[in-house]
Amino acid sequence: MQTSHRPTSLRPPRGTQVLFHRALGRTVWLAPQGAYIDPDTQTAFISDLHLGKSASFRQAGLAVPEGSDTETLARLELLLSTYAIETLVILGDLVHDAASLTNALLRQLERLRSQKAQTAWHLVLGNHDQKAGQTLQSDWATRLGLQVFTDRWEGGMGLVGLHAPDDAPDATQTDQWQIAGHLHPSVVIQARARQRLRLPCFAYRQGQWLLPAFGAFTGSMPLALSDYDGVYPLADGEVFAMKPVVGLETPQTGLMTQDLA
Amino acid sequence: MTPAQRAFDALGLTPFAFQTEVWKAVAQGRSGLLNAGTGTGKTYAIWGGLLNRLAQGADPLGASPQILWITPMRALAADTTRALQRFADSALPGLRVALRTGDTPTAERTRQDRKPPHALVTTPESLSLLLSKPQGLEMLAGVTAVVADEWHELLGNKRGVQLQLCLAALSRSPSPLLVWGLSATLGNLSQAAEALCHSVTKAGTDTGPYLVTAQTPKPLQIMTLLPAQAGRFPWAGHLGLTMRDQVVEAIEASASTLVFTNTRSQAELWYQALLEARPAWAGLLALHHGSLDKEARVWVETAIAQGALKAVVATSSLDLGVDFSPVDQVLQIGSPKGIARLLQRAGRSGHQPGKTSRLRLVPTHALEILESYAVQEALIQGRIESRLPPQAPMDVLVQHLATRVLGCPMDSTTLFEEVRLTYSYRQLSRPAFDWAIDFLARGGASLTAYPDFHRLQLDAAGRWQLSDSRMARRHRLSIGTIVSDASMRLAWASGGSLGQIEESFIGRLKPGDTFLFAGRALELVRVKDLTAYVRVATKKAGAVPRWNGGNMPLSTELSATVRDILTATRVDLLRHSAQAPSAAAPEIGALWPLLRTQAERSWLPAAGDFLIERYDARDGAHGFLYPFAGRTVHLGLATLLGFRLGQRSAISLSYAVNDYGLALLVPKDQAAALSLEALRDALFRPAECLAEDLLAALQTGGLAQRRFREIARVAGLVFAGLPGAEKTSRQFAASSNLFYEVFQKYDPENALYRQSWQEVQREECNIEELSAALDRCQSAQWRWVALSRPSPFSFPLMVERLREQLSSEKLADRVARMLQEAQSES
Repeated sequence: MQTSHRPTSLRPPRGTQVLFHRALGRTVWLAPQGAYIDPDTQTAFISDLHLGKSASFRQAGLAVPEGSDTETLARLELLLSTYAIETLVILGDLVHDAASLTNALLRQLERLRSQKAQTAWHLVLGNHDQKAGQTLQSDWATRLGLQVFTDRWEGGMGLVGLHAPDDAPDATQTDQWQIAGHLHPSVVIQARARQRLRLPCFAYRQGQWLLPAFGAFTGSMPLALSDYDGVYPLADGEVFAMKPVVGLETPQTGLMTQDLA
Repeated sequence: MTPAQRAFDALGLTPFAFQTEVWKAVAQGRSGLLNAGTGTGKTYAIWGGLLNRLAQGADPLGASPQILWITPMRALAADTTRALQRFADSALPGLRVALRTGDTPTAERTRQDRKPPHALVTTPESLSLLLSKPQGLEMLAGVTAVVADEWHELLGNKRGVQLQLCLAALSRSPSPLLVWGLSATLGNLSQAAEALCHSVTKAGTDTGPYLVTAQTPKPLQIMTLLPAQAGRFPWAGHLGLTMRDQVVEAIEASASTLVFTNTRSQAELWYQALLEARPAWAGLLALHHGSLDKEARVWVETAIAQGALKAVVATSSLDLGVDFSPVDQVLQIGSPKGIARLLQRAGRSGHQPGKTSRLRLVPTHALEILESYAVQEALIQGRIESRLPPQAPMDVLVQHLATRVLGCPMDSTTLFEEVRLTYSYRQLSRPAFDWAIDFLARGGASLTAYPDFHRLQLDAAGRWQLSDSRMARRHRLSIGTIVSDASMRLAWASGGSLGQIEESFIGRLKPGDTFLFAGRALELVRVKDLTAYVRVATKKAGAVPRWNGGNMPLSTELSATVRDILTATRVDLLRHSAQAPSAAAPEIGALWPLLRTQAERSWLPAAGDFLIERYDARDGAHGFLYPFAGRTVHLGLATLLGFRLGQRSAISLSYAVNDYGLALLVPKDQAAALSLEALRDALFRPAECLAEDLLAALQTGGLAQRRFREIARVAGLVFAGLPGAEKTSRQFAASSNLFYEVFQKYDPENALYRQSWQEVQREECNIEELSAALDRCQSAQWRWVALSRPSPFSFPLMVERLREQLSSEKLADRVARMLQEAQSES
């Protein structure tokens, strides 16, 4: 039996998509930086930063200019301060591979870490983090105060954090939902007059949330829309709602109250 | 007796005047270009001359190759090798000709390294690869002559630039180098010769390139296959299947026919359609395109040469090469888009001396009847297109510099001097060259943007060399300038390969979906390890692979001819008569109903008219503009207009172009953006603003981004590698779009990034001709028509699916509007 939380009294910052997740009985904020936020506990979930990707490209002889790490970290800093985040859960692929672990990146991360010393950082290892090897999991984790989870994060809020989502989430599971990254989801929006746009997005279906890639130097993969119940594209510092969402409701309008469970 | 004469005697041939002229020029040590069609004996002219010269030398059958024969297509190389060897067997017995391309097995390469042949047949890419290896350089040290076969195929593209650079490298050997090209007819033959021979000759002197034209015109008979009922002919489309019965009749009436289409999907569909019409042709009808497995292609080629086939449906994969003597007719489905291309295809028939080449043009929609007529007119007037060598492309330079220092360490000054020997880089500035070196050495001119990067480094003697062997291997794997869509292997689930297919096409299919390939309906079983496994489909095929390449622009020459023909059409007669005057060409007769409808619903533009049509439809507000300036100019114009209209008010616009005009489409509530006043304002801006506005427009649109794909590959930014060969390289797979964005954001001064705009401006939008077209629009009489139904001219533009977008709306506003529209419709 779910305990029903009252919607949070915190004011959502501009551009946030506010939802009430009926099955979990919780308010959910989708932040335009690409984070899923549980406002009641001030926890943010992000995924797929791929820090140091351009450095490992350069080491392989591909001339990619630096700048994406700075942008990704600035985005993270903005997220942490705008939403006063207390717990940050990174659902994998914090870094790209072993060649990403440069001193320059470590210094940048340490600086951010010391500015936000009060925030707890959790990392679920992604396939790319695995490639980065022990240095990340031991040395870097210690220096950055990262709490490392090898395959799953179970810290409440009705969520299980994974890096790679299951192909077919368990739809009968109503009190515990997966939240995952890995796929770098995006959505193609088409409208009249042959208008077409491709945007990174959050996506949701019974039992599962997908997060967009947080990193500035990452590609994206269009989702098969028919497989998802709700899709939330990001554009211009705003999170949009794209499909009528069953089982979630926006507290302001009280729309869509149909229950899934 | 000279070796060449000896071979001619043995073959029972008498040399033509042009052949002896080439022999003489070669004997004098001249380089040059021979302009001759297929089947004229051009190969023997050059080869004979070079063998004569070889026999005069100190060591005719020396220990290393002295002659390189460069062919543009791997598929042709084997035939060429055989033909050269046959001739050499009677001219200079003992001389060995060998083949070395990407297809040559390692065992054969090793054999060649151990016992080098006297002449080597190869491709520009394989030559480049030889230059990248010390033992390759050693092998090439004795080369005294290089022949560029089918030079017209290379001249206008980056492969030609790559060959120019290789020739400059070879020209630095102590012994003098001769360079000869073979080319079909072009509008700029002397420039073609200069571009090829630049590193070994001085233009304008008596040692400049020697130009020979073979005066053996083959009689050519061209006509248009016209629809039985002109009024029923579709206004748009590209398949042309309504012409099936006429095509079947034409094939029936000939012994052997080549049916050329412009795209592979068209070839697949026509093959099916012909078999359906004449089931008895099973086994006598074949399909030939570049995606088929090599074995299948070779089988078809052999069968045509033996006269065993009634007809072959082919794409440009059969444009070049070997003689198909039994073929007595060529059918061209769809517009040939250019006169030179048409001549080339026509030359595939009647390959025996004195025989007539017969060519039938098959229009696929009404306006192509006009193009067919224009082609014939242009031929009579001798308007042949030029192919312009690219000017100093940075991506090719970057790749070649890495290739050179990989072969042997070299210093900057030597490299710079060598590169400047080429035609394409003759005016390369030292700063531009230094940028290329910097890019390789440390990522770019800016020191901070690329920490820890170095692909090249200096040795103690101040010479550049590659940083490590891993990069060397990867560079060698990615040599070349041919960029195709990522493709995957197509194979039977039960085993056995079928060919290659675009990954993007397979990506749209689900297991169980059916499609046409190689004339068969196939069902996708699964996709695994870069291979798509299929089985024979039990249900009817749905999708046909859509290969790129169907959007070739009508050449400028042809566009101008089309304009002339329309102007010559008597509008007064059109109004009053349902039939064309009896003196008019049959094509005009067939077009008459369409031209009449155009005049009724809208306006038939004559010289000095600029027609603009506006049409409000369910999907938005359309504006159609008809400058008749060709696809490339229209693309530039549409980009420019989209940008300028967007400056007046926030709009999101999609546009399409064809060879006659361009279509602009905006959402209904933005219709004001396409008012007469707005368009006047956008078109009547001072000429000085053109370049600047176009550049700004390109930055917001997707055109330059697409262009960057090729540049990124050639410059070694995006590494395709070998399918499955190097799994570890997967983590370095990033789309060129992502690279484009990264440069845009973090290093906007990057020369490769800027090259993509320049290429779009020059090659895709044709800024010079765009400027001329703008002048014409400004001084023309504007004809503004509000349509109540689509006109015949507007219809093909309206249904064109390939579109570009430009938007000046704020992204968030645009998303909000699009989502609202999408929701209100569902």
